Amino acid sequence: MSLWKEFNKGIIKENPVLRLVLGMCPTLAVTTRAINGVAMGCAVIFVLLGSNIVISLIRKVIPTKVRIPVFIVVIASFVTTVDLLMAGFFFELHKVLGIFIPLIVVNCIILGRAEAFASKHSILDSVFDALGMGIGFTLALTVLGSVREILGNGTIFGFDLLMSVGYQKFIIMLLPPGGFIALGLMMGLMNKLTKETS
Amino acid sequence: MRSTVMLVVVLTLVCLISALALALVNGVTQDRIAEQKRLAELRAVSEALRGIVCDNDPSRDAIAIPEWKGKDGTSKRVCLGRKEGKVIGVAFTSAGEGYGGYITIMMGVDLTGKLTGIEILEHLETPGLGANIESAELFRDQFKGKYREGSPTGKLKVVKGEEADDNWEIEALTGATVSPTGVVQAINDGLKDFDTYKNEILAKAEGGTQ
Amino acid sequence: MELFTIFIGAVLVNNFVLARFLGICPFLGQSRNVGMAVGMGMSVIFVMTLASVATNLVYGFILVPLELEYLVTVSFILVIAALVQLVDIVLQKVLPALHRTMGIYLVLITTNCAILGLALLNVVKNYNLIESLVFGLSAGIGFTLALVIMAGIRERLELADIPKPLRGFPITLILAGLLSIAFMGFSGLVKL
Repeated sequence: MSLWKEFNKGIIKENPVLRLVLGMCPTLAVTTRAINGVAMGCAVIFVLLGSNIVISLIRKVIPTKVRIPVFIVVIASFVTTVDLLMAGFFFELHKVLGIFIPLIVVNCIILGRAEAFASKHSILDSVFDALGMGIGFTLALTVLGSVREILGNGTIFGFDLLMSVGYQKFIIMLLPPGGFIALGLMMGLMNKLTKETS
Repeated sequence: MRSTVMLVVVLTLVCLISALALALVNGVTQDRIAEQKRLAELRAVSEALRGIVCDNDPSRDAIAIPEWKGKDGTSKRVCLGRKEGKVIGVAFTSAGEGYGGYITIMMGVDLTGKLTGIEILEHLETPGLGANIESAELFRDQFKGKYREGSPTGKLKVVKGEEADDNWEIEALTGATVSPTGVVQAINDGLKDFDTYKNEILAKAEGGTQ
Repeated sequence: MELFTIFIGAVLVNNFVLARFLGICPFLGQSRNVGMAVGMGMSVIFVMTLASVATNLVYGFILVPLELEYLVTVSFILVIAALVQLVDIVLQKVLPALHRTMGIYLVLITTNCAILGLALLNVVKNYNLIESLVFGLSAGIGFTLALVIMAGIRERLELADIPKPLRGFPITLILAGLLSIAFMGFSGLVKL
């Protein structure tokens, strides 16, 4: 079924983070805890869905020459919306994610999908594309966040995992170097598992 | 020429629609966001005024002291803790230089200048080391009841490797002294400012001005 | 001096790429060789400094007085996009030779999160015009520094025997991690 294929590709084969190498900045910056990864992922899904739907809706009336600025305005509007919603309903998470929420607007994934897909496909196709890419992004971030949280803090989603067995926290995982190295190793593992090289 | 006009029209239209939509979202979320900020302040202030028992809501009972400027140039906002209408403690923010940048705290003092508690608002300290200043058991609990009287320098002092026996001594964290020093610096600055503005605060508080 | 602290802070202590995670995409993509890195770096320094000042002015003179702070994301990204277009056009007319070599990088800069991140940080940190200018310049220099160092290492890496799954992005990220650890040594260099 074609819609399933649109959805599926974003999860493994064309995972935006691990295979397309897009959206690196938030991936590295917020994944100090698993819950952060989930939160950022959900925000991106919201924006992706919104912008893909709207752009697919208006794709026939927007002149080609102004399409990029129009896409940017649409995406920025959804980003501002999710920013305000999070500040109102998820205050703590909003504070933790900080400037990386507004930075979703320059997340290459969103503009990339708008340009490469939503502007050329029907609304339904665009919805499934958005969901697939968004969920793939969320999964990658959650896994990375979990790895860093378990190694760096001994907890997972705030629940104690290793602390009670006297685990010595591997603090560097919570700091910038840990993010780089963990993601690099994850990508390497992904390459090995899909038996391809970059 | 006509196509250029079309481009401008389309772009302007899109921007207008977006601006209107955002104004709507902003209108809907504005109050909620303000309330969240107030709740966050209330949590911090409650933590800072832990050493005393108030019967009012300090986050709704605050005064501004225009001459008392914070490090970013804004006037200090002093939250009041009352019991039966009389002010028994105040809470305000202060900042000191930590390891990774400024540490911003909320500190509470009673009218004799004794600390009632502190809460860490913002910091850039190292997780697992300096960042432990956030922890109540490891660091913040000891501040309750500390005061400056008797200190040779007239200020609170950080001690490392030994117990903090005197009322002006603060125990540092194992492996991190710069972060606690930053916190104590913030407190000393705050206490000094409190001395300067105490009378004004009390006068404004009794006057019932918000 | 306050401005000096901002400079050292942005270049070394809180390097935009290695500590703040801004500008990773071009950092990974444009660091294949030193020539590319320098070209990208120069464009970024130029655009960052201009963007820093421009967005600071827009925020201070338009958004705040009209109480439209919630439009910060939309307006900033439009200002940056317009600025990059302007620089592209001006460069093409005034310095065509330079435009031929650096032009391609300009297109990539609009979606560079480092520029928007810089503009937003100016707001968070409440920087005035001069501080924004210095911050933008320093951030660009810090970005270029990280990029050039990475390019230098990757050029050498061409001759190394890297395990197949790690070739390309994975090894670059691990390298970035090591660079980040090295830069952590600058902590505490200046009181920020």
